[in-house]
Amino acid sequence: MALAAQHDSTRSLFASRNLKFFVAGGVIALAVAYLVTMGLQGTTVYFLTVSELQAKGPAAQNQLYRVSGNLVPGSLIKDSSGLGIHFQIADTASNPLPVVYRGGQVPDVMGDNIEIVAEGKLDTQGTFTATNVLAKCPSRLEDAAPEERDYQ
Amino acid sequence: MAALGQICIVGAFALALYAIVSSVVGVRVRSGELVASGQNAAWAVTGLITAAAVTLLVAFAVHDFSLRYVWDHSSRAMPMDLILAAFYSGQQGSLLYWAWTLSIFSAVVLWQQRRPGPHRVLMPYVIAVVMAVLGFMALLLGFVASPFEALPRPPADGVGLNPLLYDEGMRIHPPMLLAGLMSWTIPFAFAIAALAAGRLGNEWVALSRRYGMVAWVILGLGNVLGAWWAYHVLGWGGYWGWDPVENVALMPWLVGTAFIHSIQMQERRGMLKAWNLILIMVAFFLSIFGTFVVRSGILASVHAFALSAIGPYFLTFLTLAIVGSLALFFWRLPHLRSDNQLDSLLSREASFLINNLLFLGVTFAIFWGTIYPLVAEALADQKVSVGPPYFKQVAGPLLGGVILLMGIGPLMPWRRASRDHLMNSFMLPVTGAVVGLAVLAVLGVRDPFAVLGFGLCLFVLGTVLQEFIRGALARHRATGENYVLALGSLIRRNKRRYGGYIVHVAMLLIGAGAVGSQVYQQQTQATLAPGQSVTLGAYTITAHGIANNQLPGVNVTDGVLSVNGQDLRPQKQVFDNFPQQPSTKVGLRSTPFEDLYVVLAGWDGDGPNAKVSLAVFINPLVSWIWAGGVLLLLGTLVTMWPAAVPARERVTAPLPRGAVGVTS
Repeated sequence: MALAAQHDSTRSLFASRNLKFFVAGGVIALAVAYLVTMGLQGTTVYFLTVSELQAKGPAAQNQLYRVSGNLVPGSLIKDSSGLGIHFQIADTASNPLPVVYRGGQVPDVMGDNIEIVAEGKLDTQGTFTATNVLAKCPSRLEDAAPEERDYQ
Repeated sequence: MAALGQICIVGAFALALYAIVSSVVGVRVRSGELVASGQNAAWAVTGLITAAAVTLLVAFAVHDFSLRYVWDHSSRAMPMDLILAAFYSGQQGSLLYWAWTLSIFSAVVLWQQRRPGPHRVLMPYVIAVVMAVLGFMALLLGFVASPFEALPRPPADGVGLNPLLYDEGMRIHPPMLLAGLMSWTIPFAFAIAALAAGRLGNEWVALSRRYGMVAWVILGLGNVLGAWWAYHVLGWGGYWGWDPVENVALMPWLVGTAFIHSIQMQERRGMLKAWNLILIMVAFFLSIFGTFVVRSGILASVHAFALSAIGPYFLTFLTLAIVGSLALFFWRLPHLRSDNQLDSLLSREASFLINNLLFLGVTFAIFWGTIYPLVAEALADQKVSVGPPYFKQVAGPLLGGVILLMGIGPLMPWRRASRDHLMNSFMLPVTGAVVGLAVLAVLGVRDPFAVLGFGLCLFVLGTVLQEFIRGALARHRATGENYVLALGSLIRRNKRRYGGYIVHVAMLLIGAGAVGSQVYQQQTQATLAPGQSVTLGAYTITAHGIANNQLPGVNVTDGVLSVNGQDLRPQKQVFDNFPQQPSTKVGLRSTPFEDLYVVLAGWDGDGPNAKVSLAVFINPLVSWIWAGGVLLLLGTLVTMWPAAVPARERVTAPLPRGAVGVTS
């Protein structure tokens, strides 16, 4: 009887001999939680529209943000040295925001009124220096019907 | 054509429902006829879905633009193999492809498991689960997102495929990845069958493990191919962006890796029974979630809250699947007791457990980072984005731990390791790793992250080599075979073990490639007039203007460059139907230790006098990642190679005199 009881308790998941494994598992779980929390705090980038960025005023300067807006028609200028671009983005409720980008990877889709997401910092002169520029592909609406010209 | 496809899908839906009812009722009331009828219905579902898929393929091949889906994704100017690939390029077609491959896989499984045996009691439930999934897909394809929607008047030509998809990558990555996601349904079905039938011993374990390996290698290759495609088409110099779409395809694979390891612990020591069931369920749920995210676009943009029409259906299906699976699990929980205990932290069992915890930790971290923007916006009305820095910071250390474990685990004995055993096993590999790092330091590799990464890889490589060499030597001493033969028969007799080692080496190649390309990437930009050069590393790139070609349907601009005397032509392609979306073809020169990667960013002027703007990268060790992918496939094939079955031979021989029944 006593033997059976002892057998049962050593087979239970919560027997004391399993303690070291719970500790090991707990350590790993804590490590993961720590990495995730630190990671999110350290690397999360706030995503704003142009109006929201401008509404923040001088508090927004020198902080890493992602800003989205549409490319103002005619504002895309390539640097004479060929390695940078200047342009302006705006949304319906904002003033144009001047952006400068000197990285090599100008998206293929850059064009008037394309939605642009620029990641970088606003400097004290009000120009947004971008370290990364993404352009959203103009989605061909899947529901668009064939136009008349598609028929012969 | 459209009507035929639609009828097949609706028929498949009805038969799938029938198969579920017939199989489950049949096995509960012990009616062999009902069970057989359910199985026949399953075969018929495979046939009908195949017919629907073939109908769509034929429609593409003959340019039947009366089908909206064909019109939307192909054009007459496209090459035929790309037209057939367009079949799975859009939402509806890729869902049909997913269902089609699942129906074929399930038919193969039914065929393989046709012989009598203890597993036969599981099969009706397996059929029920697979038919439930296929029935759901047929519901979507038949009534919500049909590839057979017809246009009132057939247009003369189609729109064609998005320019980014005109690449070899398009022909192989989506089919491999979608098949990888669907194939987790099968090991999941065996687990659910085990719970439903109450057969919680080893019947389901061996089958789930084997089919799990198949799913694992297909999904793994799908991910590697995706990285390869992104690398040579998108032109940003990298191969993995920690994009939501990439992450959701990786997570089921990570959980699957944990599963194929811990399932071995159940096979050998009858442990982790409950845990393995939860693992394979999570792998399946993540694969459904992945299919949903990849095909509905919900996570592509932080602001995309408008779910596509299939969204609510997927979420409902996933919720029902989770609730049903957990209900079955808790019902059977009292019977899921381990046969053995964990004896020591220094044991194979503990290594498997820590392996599981690390893989699940990485999966959780990636999952949280991927959905965090949605959560933050929903709860705190704060728009945030979580990018590669988060994922690298979190996944890096955990995956480093996994690599370390890859070296330690296989050398640990079951139950408990003695100190002598530890010394004997690890002395050489550790020494080898230290020596290797010293050599690398002399060659200039001193970055702490690279030292740690390469050091771990060298250590694990040392353990694998030690295993092969010691094994071959032991065989040679025991059987007298020469060393080569000894090695061959060693592998042949222990395919799971040594095939597994080969797969581990494949992971080392991928890991080393990732470390090398992250730490030692070099880049520069330049705008060059004809005759001017830019130098990066050992390469001098000289510009010679551009060459423009108008091909059918596409305008191609080559940057004409010479690199150390040899020709290199990065390209930009502009398709007539997509004037706003140029696509980039990277100029790539690969050598075993590094890639020279040149992108034509822009140009000014025309012909041989044009100025070209280039983005130039040197990416070390990236080709090791692709080599690792190939080795991954080879190693898995070795582990799964069927064992030689003794041949049976008919022998006639006279019975001896005096034997019973012999009179003369």
